[in-house]
Amino acid sequence: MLAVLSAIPIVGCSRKAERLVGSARLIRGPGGLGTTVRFIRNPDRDTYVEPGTADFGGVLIIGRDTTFEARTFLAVASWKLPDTTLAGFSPVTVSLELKRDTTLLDPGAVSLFLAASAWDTTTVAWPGPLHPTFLGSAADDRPAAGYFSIPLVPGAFDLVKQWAHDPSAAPGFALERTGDSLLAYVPGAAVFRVRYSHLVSGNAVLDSVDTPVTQDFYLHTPIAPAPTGADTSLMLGGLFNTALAVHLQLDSIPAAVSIDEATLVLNIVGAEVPDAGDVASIVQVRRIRNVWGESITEKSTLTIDDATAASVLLNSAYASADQRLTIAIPGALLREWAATSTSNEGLYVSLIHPVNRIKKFQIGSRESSRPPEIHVTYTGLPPVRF
Amino acid sequence: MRARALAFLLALALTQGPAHANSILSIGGLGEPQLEEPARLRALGGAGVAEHGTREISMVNPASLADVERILLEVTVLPALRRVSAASVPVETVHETTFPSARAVIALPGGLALGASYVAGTDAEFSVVRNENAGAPSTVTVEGDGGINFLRVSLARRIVPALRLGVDWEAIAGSYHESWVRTFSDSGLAMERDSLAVRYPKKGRWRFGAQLVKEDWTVGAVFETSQRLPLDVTRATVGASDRFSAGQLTLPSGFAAGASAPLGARYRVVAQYRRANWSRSSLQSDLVDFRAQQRFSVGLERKRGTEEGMSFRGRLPLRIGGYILQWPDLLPRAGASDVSGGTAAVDERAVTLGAGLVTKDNGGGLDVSLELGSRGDRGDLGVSERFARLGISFLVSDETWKGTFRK
Repeated sequence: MLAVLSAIPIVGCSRKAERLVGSARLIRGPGGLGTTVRFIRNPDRDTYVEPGTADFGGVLIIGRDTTFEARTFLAVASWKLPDTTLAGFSPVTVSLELKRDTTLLDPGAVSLFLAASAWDTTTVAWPGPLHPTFLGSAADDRPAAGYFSIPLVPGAFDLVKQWAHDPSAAPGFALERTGDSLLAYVPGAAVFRVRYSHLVSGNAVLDSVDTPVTQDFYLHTPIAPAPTGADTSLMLGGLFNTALAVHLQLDSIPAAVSIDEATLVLNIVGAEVPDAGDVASIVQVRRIRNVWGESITEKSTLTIDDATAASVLLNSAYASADQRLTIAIPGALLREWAATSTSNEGLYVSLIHPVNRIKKFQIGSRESSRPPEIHVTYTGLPPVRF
Repeated sequence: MRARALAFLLALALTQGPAHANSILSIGGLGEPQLEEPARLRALGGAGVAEHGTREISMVNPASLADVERILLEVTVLPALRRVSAASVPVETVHETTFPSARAVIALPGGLALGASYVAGTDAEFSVVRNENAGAPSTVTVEGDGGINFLRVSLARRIVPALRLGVDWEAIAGSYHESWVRTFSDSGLAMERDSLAVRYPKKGRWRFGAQLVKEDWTVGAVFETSQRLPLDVTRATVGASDRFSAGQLTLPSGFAAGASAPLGARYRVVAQYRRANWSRSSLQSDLVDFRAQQRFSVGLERKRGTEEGMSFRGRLPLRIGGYILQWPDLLPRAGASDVSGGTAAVDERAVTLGAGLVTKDNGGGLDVSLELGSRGDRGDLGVSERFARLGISFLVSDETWKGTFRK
């Protein structure tokens, strides 16, 4: 018997029945081990806003699509000139080289203009500075990725020399397309290229000098039709890159609970839904800090946290069976809102890195039959032992 | 050979996994009351208040240290088997290992002996799994640990040949902690991890002991003072915690009294009554009530044979005893949600036996005990347990210390 008892600690034993019996002896008062409470709230305010007509983001857009029209602006801080003292120096061409963004592959002709005045990046807005001076044009047939070149008008090398001597003579450049269809280019990759020839050992040699574009962005027309605050659907993404502003009143979460679920549910009511092509798109949620009304149309009227409260891949958030996006919200945020309702000014929901820049998702608003929802589930903390 | 066996048992003791519980009934209340005595006295039913000698030390009575002449170190380990019986589930046998006590004693000049010890008071370790349906179906796993422990400093001296006095100052340590994990069948609900901790400040209390010795007759007694402990409860989860005062726990005063009487040259009988005055006023709670904790212990020992030419079996000390323990906790009856529906007491009874080995220098040794008992009532509490506990105590000493002060 002693030997058996000595050996038992080194072998395992089942505790299944003991755990079941013990659970019956885990007596913690009439409240048992805690009740799980679930509730759903709909917003008392919701709308959608555009981030402004100036876009300094990840693409440069040119062209028109129904109510959307965009032009791109470029600026050069300092110019580089070839060594004109080289033997047999002769300028050949001056061109603007643009790297294609493949998210918009429409073909079309693009024209380059010299802007009449400089701009302030903090206030620049559609339609942007006047740009009366035509500098060149070319057709971008967009077969694939790569560079697109716009040759400048003959004699442009003299203009470049003038801009190099007096940079204020070239306050900026505008790229636009007058017809329908949209073209997109990669920001930070554009250069002005001067091609020239000179003699080496009596033979003519072609060479080039690049001047990088130091600032680029695009301006687009204001959102049309503008959100009214009473729309039955809220636009997320698309050419206007709109985002949602949603406020849900939460005041019924006790302090001493575990948050088991805090999920924002956005029901898609339009025809367009996330698919395999949206693999890189991300839904981001940020806190709104200021008071706002449903009549707003611009993001600039909102004070939004830089830090994201939640971020999830669009395809991961999408449930095709219910045609809805579900985004987990930090429980700590709900605790704060429940404890101090005045700190709850709602959430800003945006779509970033869209692969398809035209695609927009229509989210049911509080005026629709499928409004946004926040699902909250909580359970009381463990009851006391004594 | 003995050294090898001792090393094997020591290795076993040191490679134990964490204990789970020593009783299902420790899920509520203060936890299972622990007997801190070493295996030698456990085999005598725990009757140690009248123990005295150079190595015959008791954890209950500080006066029992008065005759110590060396540096002593004693550790007890307690593997146990439990057989759990309940109405609704199959009978199951489980095991665990606990460490009820450890003590170091050193003889000082002036006839003093100084001791320091760790003593387990109650064991509140448990593990349960329960399905809940309040609101949303979930499975709750609760892992509990902790209990009341004591860190004790002892001082003892033989005043006159017949009188030994001792005093303990013990810090009341320990706490109660539970980890709750709740998983939901709905995959949209996240698993929650909560905790519950009941703490109290480490306060001290006194214990006074005395022994009267007349030849082979000994009478011993101990009195321990009470102490009030304000309870502090913290419930916490991710992002939130809730801390509040939960009233006051009063560790009550108590006493133990017992005797050792010779039965011929090699035999003696021991008996002891020990009481801690727990009552309703000890802790106001809807989940547990209290009564006085009482332990009745008796034992019979055939002492170690020392005559030349005796066989190994003949020299071996043999012990047999028994005890009845009334837990202080009065727990809600089976099916009740609190004590308003009535309470049920936990009575524990066991028979004990044991033996021991002593090193050649008479300073160290190995003692083992076996306790076979039962507790709980399936009718009142929904569960009863039978148990077999093996007590193993290691005693080592440094004989170079001997004689430095005790000529």
